[in-house]
Amino acid sequence: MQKILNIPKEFVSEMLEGILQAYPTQLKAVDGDNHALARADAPIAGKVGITTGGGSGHLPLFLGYVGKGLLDGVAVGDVFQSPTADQMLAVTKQVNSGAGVLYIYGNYGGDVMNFDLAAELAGAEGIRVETILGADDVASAPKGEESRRRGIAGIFFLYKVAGAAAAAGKSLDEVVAITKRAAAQTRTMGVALSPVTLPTVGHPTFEVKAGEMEIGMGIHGEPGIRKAKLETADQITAELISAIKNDLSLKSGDKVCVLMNSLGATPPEELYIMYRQVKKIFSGDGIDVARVYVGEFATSLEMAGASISVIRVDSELLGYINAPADTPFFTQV
Amino acid sequence: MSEFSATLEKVAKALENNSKRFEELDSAAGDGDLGITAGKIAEGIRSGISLSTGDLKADLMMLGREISKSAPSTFGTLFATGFIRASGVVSNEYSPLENVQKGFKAAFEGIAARGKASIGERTLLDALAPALTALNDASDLRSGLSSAAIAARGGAKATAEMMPRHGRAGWIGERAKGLEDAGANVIAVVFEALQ
Repeated sequence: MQKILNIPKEFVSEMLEGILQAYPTQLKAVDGDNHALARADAPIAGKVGITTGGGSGHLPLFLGYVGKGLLDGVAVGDVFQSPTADQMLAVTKQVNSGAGVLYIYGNYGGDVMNFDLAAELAGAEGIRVETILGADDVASAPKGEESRRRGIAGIFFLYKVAGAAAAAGKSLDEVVAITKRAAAQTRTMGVALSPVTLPTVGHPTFEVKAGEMEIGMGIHGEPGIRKAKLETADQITAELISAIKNDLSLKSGDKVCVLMNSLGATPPEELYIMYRQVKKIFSGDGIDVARVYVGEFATSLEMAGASISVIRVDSELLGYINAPADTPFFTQV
Repeated sequence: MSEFSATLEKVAKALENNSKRFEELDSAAGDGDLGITAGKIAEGIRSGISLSTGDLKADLMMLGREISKSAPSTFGTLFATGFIRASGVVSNEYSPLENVQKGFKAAFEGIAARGKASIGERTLLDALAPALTALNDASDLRSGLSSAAIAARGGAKATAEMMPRHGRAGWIGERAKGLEDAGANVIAVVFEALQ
């Protein structure tokens, strides 16, 4: 295992210590638990609290987007494991200003159960909680079964829209309505080129052979839709974009934002090679790219590969995406 | 220690004593961590007992909270949900039998909803449902718990012939058949300890 580690089982706790020490003015631990983090200035008076959570191993997801213009709090689990309902509840109470709390997280069984339980317990304490799931991974379930889809990098657009709407003073009902609209317009397709090694396991827990790729593999190694010999950047990009275009029924005249995401090991150079092809395809189709993000947004440890997320926007959604944000892992002026 | 706490201690002990069996069943079809989870649930039950106030409603809520903290896996969260939902329906106005009937009914419904599962899908519900029916047919608590234990065990045995739809067992499908569901076995052990 080629990792810079001390004790493998302390991977998450030492990572969290380092992050809190790196950003002491932006983040704080709730009730002394580093797995329950909030904006240092939470709760923000009158503002809807936006909260997320999930397993570790996906930085900048999930904790990296806690800050101004984005999220208020996050519950952090062990590598690829859900945080506990109790941690989520602690975060919920910390970020609630009285305006209610919106949970936005990826659609994974363990997370859903724990966050639903946290919402139930928060409700019993008089805090109103609403939930919107990230379920943008086109490869994880067919059209018509969207509610079964897993959440991956496209959740960034949900965070961005919800965070900006909450910062603009919208009510919980308004933030929910806007974010649901964003979720309905967001799709992601990815490709994996290598497996990952969990620090406590020490060897890869699934396989992607050298020279091969798996289209649609999940960020925890969930099976994808097609294994094949590694193809060219243009071929891979065309396949990913085609699946997204069909699923979103994109047409000439539509306006979109695009997020080119590395799964951890793929360098930005390759993401730009892919984006060149995205732009070419969209231009040919008469689809206008209003904004592009390129980099690491939702990773899977050291997995090689990339994902492309697309959100179809109107002027309201684009306004929220373009709004400023300032967090440890994402800043936009 | 109150009778309620003493009964719960018996459940915790039974979960620990059977953890090896849970692990074996779960390794064959699931991800093999149910033995560990059963131990963590026992820890949560003991922590709940130590915080007991003697008020049934408050104690069930506390037990659910403590179990969810000590056993955050899917099964642990479902188990905790049962206690929390039971807490919502029990009352000092009811007889012990009525509280047990109402409590387990609410637990069943809460677990089914949170787990998005139904009867016949090879889950813990397939042991809980017959136990609940036995409780509802009973005229006193003692005979009710006794027939519920038999019904839960029968329900757990019957899962061996069911096709799994949930968790990792759901992916391996046909290969899980012939083996009893590990979660249903946990419920059978719980009812056997309650009688």
